[in-house]
Amino acid sequence: MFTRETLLHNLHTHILGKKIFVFDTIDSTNTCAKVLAEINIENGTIVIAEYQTEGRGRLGRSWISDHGKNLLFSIVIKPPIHRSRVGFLPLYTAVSVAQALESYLNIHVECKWPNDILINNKKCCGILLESSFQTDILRYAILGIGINVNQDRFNEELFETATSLKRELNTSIDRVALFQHIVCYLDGNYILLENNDFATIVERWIKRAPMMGNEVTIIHGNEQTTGIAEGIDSQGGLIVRCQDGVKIFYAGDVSIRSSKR
Amino acid sequence: MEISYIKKLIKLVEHSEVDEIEIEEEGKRIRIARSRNHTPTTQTVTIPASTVTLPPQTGGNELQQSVQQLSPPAQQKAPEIQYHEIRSPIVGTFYRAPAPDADPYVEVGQHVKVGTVLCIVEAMKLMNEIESDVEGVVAKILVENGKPVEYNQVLFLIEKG
Repeated sequence: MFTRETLLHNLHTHILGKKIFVFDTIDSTNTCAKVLAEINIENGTIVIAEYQTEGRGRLGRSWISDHGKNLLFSIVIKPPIHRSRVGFLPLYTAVSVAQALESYLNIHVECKWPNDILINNKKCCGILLESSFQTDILRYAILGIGINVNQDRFNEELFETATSLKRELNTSIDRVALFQHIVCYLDGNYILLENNDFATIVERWIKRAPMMGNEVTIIHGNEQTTGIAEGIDSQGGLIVRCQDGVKIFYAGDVSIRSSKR
Repeated sequence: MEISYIKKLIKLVEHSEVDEIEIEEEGKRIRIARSRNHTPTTQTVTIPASTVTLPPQTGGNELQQSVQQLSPPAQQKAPEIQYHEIRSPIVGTFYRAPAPDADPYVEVGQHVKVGTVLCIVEAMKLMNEIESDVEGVVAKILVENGKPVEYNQVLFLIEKG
């Protein structure tokens, strides 16, 4: 069972995790974090729970996670970034989590645009980001992070595409230590957001993105586009060279067709 | 005090939440106050001597100005319905509902308050809830569900009130 004391014990961060709200059961850590952000809670505040009754993914997709097995937390951050740059927040979050997994577990982690994290080509982490603006500058963003740590149970539909760290490594993982690693990497990279140093975020992300230089298919609504992933544009969009020219995507699901690993 | 400067102040009040401002400089004082009267026909030019009331630039909100040593008065325009525009703060995809099988946040004709969520614009899996910054009625929804939107693209027209 998480406690504030164990989660914060020896956690040395500059901005993130100075305040933490710990729940056994909550509807959704993102919903709670959003309420806290609206009452102007301090930058870096974290909401963590053992279980979510209304855990959700993008566009209402549900997120299944057994009680006490995984990491489910949301962080309120307030970097002063322009609205045209919020597309870097998914890359910042994904690359920070990837770095933490690599560092703590010594495993190979891959990033897929814009916010997926894959281990052995399976998804072990869900990231749900929400943002709020009143002017051109970000008021706050909520980084919702769900990691299948010691999850054993997968429904049939997800068995091939989703995984947990325990399933991949054949051993139980210390959730508190992993949580602290993730918070430390998010905190360390936070300065890049503060300084608007998006190039460094992209550089670290691309290092972990085998899709770059390979053929990808982007499905957005009813439209499907295939081309070579060439890079990230100035707003975090995916640059794809298609037969009829270069296109930039700001939304869509990507699948990687071929791989030069 | 230049007429163009005063016009700028009027616009400032019109597009802000401020109901009244008063500025004094070089011995001259101007007060611009917003009246919540929605019948533009009641606009009058009634201030005697060296003070004048300008007709409002828009018909929706009536603004009255008491301006010292000011002439000439601005042109009076025919009143017309002014919709409040809700624009997209980011480039992304427009969603009218929180989930594909959920009810839309709002429908045309629905009354909304300040802070009512109107839609989501998603960019790079980052969900941005767009809230109304005025109270009124949804007059038009200008984008189809699931379609891409640009920066500053008008998404909704709200009839204030």
